[in-house]
Amino acid sequence: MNDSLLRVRDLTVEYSTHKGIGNALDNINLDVREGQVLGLVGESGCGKTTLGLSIMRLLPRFGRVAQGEILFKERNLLDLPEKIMNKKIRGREIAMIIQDPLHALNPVFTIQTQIIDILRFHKDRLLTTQWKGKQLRNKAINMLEEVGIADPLERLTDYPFQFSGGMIQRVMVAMAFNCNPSLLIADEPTTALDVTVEAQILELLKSLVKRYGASVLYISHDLGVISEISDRVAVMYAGNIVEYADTKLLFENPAHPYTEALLRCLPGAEVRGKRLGTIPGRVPDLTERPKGCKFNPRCPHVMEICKEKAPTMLDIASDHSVACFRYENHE
Amino acid sequence: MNKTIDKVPLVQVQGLKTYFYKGKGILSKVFGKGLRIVHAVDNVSFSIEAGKNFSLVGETGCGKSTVGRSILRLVEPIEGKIFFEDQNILELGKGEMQRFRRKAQIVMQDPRSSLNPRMTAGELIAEPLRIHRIKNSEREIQDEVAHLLETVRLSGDDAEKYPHEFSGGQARRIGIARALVLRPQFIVADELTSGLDVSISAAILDLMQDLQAQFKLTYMWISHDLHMVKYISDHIAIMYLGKIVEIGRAQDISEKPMHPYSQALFSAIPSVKPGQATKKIILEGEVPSPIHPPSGCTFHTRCPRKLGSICEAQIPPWLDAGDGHHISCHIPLETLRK
Repeated sequence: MNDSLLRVRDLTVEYSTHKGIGNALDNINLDVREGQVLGLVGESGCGKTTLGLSIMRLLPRFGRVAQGEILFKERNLLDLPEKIMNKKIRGREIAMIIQDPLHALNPVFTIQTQIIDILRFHKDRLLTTQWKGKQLRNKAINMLEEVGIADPLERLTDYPFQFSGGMIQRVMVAMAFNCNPSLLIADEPTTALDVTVEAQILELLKSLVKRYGASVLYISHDLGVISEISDRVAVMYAGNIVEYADTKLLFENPAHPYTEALLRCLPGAEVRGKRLGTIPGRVPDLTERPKGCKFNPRCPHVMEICKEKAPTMLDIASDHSVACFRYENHE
Repeated sequence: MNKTIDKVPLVQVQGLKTYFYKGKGILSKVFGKGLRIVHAVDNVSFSIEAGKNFSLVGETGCGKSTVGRSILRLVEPIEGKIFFEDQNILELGKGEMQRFRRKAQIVMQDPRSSLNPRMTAGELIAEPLRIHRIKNSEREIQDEVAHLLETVRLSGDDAEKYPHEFSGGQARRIGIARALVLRPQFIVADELTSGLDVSISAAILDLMQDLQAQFKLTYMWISHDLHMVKYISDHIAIMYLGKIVEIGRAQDISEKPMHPYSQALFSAIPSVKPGQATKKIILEGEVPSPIHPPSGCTFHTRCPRKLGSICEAQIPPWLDAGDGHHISCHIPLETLRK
């Protein structure tokens, strides 16, 4: 398909830990289509952040891409020299918003310094090569205004700790859109925020994505947020994508037993007085993942074959694929 | 102003005020100069029926945890009455207070910082038994610890482990066991499931409900997770800047919140039903500082349904919508009902 901005093919990432080597990502295939939001959902440790970091080529030292391709605009990011990656891709073609903005920003510099740093580094992207201090500053002020920060002129000289959680996340959003990126990777951008602030940030993200025409990989553990923001969703479990579908299809018609179980775990007014479903057992450790389908020890529909062979992705409807042997003999 | 919800309340809170004093140093305390008062909890009243689930909801900094701590006198309120079975606990002496602690316990928000890292799970759970001298022999204590670990669905071997060896969900279970060991009637659960994955928090909620049936417990939940609150509560109170803005039965409030803040709050919850999401009410700006709370209705600075100067000048009336449903708002009840 040509309308895919980002195509990840057979991506396997290994982490070496003191217990041995394990696959943090195992044969991942996914596409982020032009102008769409792809939601990536799963519980802690399933590898969703690792996938984001692999695309940015920011894996920690103990991580290594064992195989696969990450094609961004038909170029394999994994083959690019680090210098090109830094100058042309990271923060410019692909921007990332991380979960904890206070860790992403340098605490000893004002946000003005940090925003202008990026602008200066990528100034050729911004059409003019002769930007002087004042123009850069005006650009920074405009950006803060755009993300809804009151008194941008005064706030520019503030340090990160002087902002509230919601406001600093707005600054991060402003910085991500600094260079008009074609792909935005948002890794749990609203997790630490209160619901009303979360709603503000989601609204802001949606409007900016629309205005700048960016495509988004939205990573979250929150099924509610994912369902509201994404066009398509990939569900991850223990380093695999287990289900991949149009958002509406996925939430109305979950096919994989893990997706079903996750949705059953959600409390809400409709299930008052009933017990929530729980998933027996726990997520397997990176180095002790079971043979066959990784979900098999916890799966209520487990069959013999699940313990032997790893399932591959099957199309069960248009725009709906699932990695589960229960669907093997359909049609 | 009687905000009683129903029949026999186990806990009754009247006009509770907890302020914190923030000054630069001892001089400001002596002379009152530069002293700033944080109005953490400002005139809060509610009651909790025995055997029920009462939830305090609100966003960061609204004072919900302070209410929970004040009820157990972990922070000292400056005004108000807190009745636990007809006994005003703010008047209790030291010995009586210790006896009261057997009846009311708290499970703290962050298990990693509330459990002593140098004590094993077994020691942590046994500690209240030793302080209150409930069991006589070491043997009895160990039996009780093993029994409790099983009750919260951990294994007896876990008694030897230290807090860092447990996962987030397991550490919460230790906190629950520790609260349960004195066989209390009332437990304050402060953000019990925050920071946990959905499948883990579902297991904790199931466990808490089993324990409630088994030990006839009354829970007060403190949470910002509205999905959970809708699921678990019998009654809900919504707090904003140290005040309760709306209180009532869970189904009334979650189906039809009336206070403009509650409406914004409930509309903001992300829904898992794509396409069916209700229109979101996006609030402008941020929560004002509790050091200088706005005059009149504290929500007037952000209220999308503000009437006018009356909201800035006067403290809103306590409207009664029936069935224990109360709203603190200047907008007439008939308009709110629409």
